[in-house]
Amino acid sequence: MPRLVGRRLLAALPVLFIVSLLTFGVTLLVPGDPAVTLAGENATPEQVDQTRERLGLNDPIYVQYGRWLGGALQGDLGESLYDQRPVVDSILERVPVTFGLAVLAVLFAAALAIPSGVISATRRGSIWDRAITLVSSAGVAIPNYFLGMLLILLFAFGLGWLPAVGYVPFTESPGDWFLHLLLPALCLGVAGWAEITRQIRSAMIQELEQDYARTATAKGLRRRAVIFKHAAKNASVPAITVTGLQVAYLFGGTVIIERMFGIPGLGQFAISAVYVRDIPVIQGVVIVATVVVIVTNLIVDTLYPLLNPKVRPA
Amino acid sequence: MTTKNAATGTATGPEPRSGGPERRLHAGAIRRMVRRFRRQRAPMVALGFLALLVLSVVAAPLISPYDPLEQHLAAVLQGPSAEYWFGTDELGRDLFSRVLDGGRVSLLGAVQALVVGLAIGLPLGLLAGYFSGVTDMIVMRFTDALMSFPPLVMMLAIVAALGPNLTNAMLALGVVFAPRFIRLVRGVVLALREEPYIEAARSIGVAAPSIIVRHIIPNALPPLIVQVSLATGFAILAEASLSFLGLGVQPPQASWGSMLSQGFSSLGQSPTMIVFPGVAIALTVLACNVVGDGLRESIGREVRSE
Repeated sequence: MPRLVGRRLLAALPVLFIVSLLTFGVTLLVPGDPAVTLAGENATPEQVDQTRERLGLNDPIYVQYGRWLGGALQGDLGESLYDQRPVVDSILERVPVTFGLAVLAVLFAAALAIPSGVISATRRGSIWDRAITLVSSAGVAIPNYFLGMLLILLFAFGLGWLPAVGYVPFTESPGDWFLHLLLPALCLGVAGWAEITRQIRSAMIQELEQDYARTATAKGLRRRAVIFKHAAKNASVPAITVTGLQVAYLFGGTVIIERMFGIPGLGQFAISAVYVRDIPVIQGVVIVATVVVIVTNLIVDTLYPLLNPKVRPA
Repeated sequence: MTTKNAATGTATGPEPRSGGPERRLHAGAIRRMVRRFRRQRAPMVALGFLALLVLSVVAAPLISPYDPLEQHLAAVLQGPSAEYWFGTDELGRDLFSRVLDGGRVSLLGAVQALVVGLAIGLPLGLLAGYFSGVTDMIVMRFTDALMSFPPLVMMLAIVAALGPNLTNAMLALGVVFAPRFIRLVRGVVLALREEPYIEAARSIGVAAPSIIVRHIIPNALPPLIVQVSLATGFAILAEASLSFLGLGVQPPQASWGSMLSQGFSSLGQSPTMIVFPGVAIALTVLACNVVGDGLRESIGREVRSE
């Protein structure tokens, strides 16, 4: 096991290196003189020179990259051009907010996807299967923010059960925290739910057609036992992979959902930085989000052999 | 051209066995794909919907009852009526005309992104697959890295650097698509490279470009078409997301996404404003996905990757 983890980590290194290269390269995309853009619209020539000096833009590009990477490895992602605060501090402040939202979204998605996937696989072609397939197709197609607006209209404006926007930290009041995150997490989780449901459905159908499932049924095992003890265990492997892959999309989703619902998380932070073109902040968020995605995939890859001995290396 | 022949030359009913294996052998991969596709009901309906949509956004200036930018200040934030079918926005602009006009922006944006993605992905995928070795390794490591960025976050970074407008947003989306197309094309090429007829072509001295154009690209097309149709749905969603955030299309021009964000600010006064652009996005994306799934079902087992 430790050897496997080591090998995966080693394989992730070149990817991480290129990710850092590309993230740093964002600065190079800024058209014209980056110092002019980065100093802001109303900067005087002196301020532009200062910016150039401060950011070391006179140095050769590889020196700039080396400095940036060196900093990043030590947890220094530079300062915001907007409020001069260290990017890392601002990110760390917001991570718990986004983390809570994302965990709730994944929990919703998985908790709903397991029954819906199993039901549609075991009753293939039934009205339930059709309904679930239809709703999950719609779930992938509907923009989550549109769904968010509909839910706000219904639950906040119409029924008045839930707050429309805003955020309360968990440490202040767990109940209010949950109520404020309920709608956003639902919106965020819908696409994941649809994706995981589809995956569970097709994996379960495949497993139930296998010889071992037929044997289990033939030797008189109850259907429930065949489904949950045998098929579900094997079908869970691809389902977990898909759940892991959802994390990348979740990060994108939080940007819009946090902005819409006024949740002060990483996504909201990123989008405000884009408006003022605060490149160091963007780079910081990009690198943190991407590393989280890579680590998640690494964890999923490592879980794989635990669940499915067939792929366990000899 | 092949598609047209296939479309006119096939019956809608089940494939006639009397056609003989000989004829089927000569029919191209695309032709077989079209034939199988035409037998599926839901994908055909979805395709019909998309065709109608494209037609109506192209003919928007002829169909629209009003200029999408014309303000009717006596009739702001109205619900649907005989005069304004979809209602009006806070400046009294006709929402039906704006949904049609926004549809053109959304669809053109998607096309732009796909063209960029294919322009990067196709040649790099061919290179990596055909020449393998170091070229392959370098291209694939970059592909892995690009794919580990969360798509929307990467687009945000590119748009932040280049500046917010629709062209840059769609350029960024094209970069998101590129690694997916690279992987697909490379996979097909790798599988084909070992085929006896490709080896034969190579051994009688046919040049690489000629093999790629005459043998590899036609075989890579069916799975590529599936991916493109699924990517179109994603492109429409992504364009809408960026425009919703104000980073895509800039006012006074509107796309479905920016209309949603506009509607969101008047959600309390006029809830109908969000309905039509939202439904338009959902239906279009759904149609693209259904067509894509139908196409995937239509690919012969001979080129299906799984």
